[in-house]
Amino acid sequence: MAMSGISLLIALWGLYASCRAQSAAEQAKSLLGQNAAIADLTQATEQIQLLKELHSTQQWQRALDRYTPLRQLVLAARKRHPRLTEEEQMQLQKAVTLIRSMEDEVVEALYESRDPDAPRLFRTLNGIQERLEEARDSLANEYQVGGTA
Amino acid sequence: MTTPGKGLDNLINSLLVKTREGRLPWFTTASPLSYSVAFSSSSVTIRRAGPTVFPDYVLSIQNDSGEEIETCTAFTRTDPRYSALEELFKYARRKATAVDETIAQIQEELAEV
Repeated sequence: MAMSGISLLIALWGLYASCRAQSAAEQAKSLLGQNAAIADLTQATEQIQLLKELHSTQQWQRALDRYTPLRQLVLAARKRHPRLTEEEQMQLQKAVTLIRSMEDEVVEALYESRDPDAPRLFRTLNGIQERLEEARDSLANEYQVGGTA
Repeated sequence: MTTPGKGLDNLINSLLVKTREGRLPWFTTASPLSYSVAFSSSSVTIRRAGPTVFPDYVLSIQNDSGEEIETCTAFTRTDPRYSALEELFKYARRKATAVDETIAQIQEELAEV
């Protein structure tokens, strides 16, 4: 009787230890995802800076090559992060929509043999940059809280 | 399951109701006369195209990658969706450009002159 009680205690302890290990592994995975998402968004804001330079020097063809990779960085950040809030997801979706609209505008202008509206594109880039920096800062705050918890 | 056309009509109607109430955060895009609203993994864009008198109205839905997955264009006033899209465009533009807030602010400042 006493032996079966001890066995039960050992089994429960094993279960508890296993659950703790699983929870720690999940937490580590989540933190890694958050960290990767922050890195993607940092890289995306660097790409925006480069696009501003390409737009200001009217290098539209080179700019066109950069829109899709920029969108992919934002998408990667979304997919890597395990628990984005609805507001964060909307901010990133807004950024994706704006990048796509910029791409469409440049393609249409080049097709119609006219110059794209550079000031409007500059404002759009600023809007995207704002969205991405907000999202990155919000994730960085969560990461610090998660990392120190 | 709803038929594709019916689903789109329901969506246009819901967008119109929520937009009239000022509850959707429409924003300007890189294309002139084009306004979007983002949801958690999709967006809706309404734009005006073609002639100034009786223009075309185009509503499109984008997925999470920004790719267009559905489009609906109303070319003429006889199109049953024309008036709804026209109204949606007008409300979306007002919201995106914050024209009502700007008018209110001007009125406020004029009152102090």
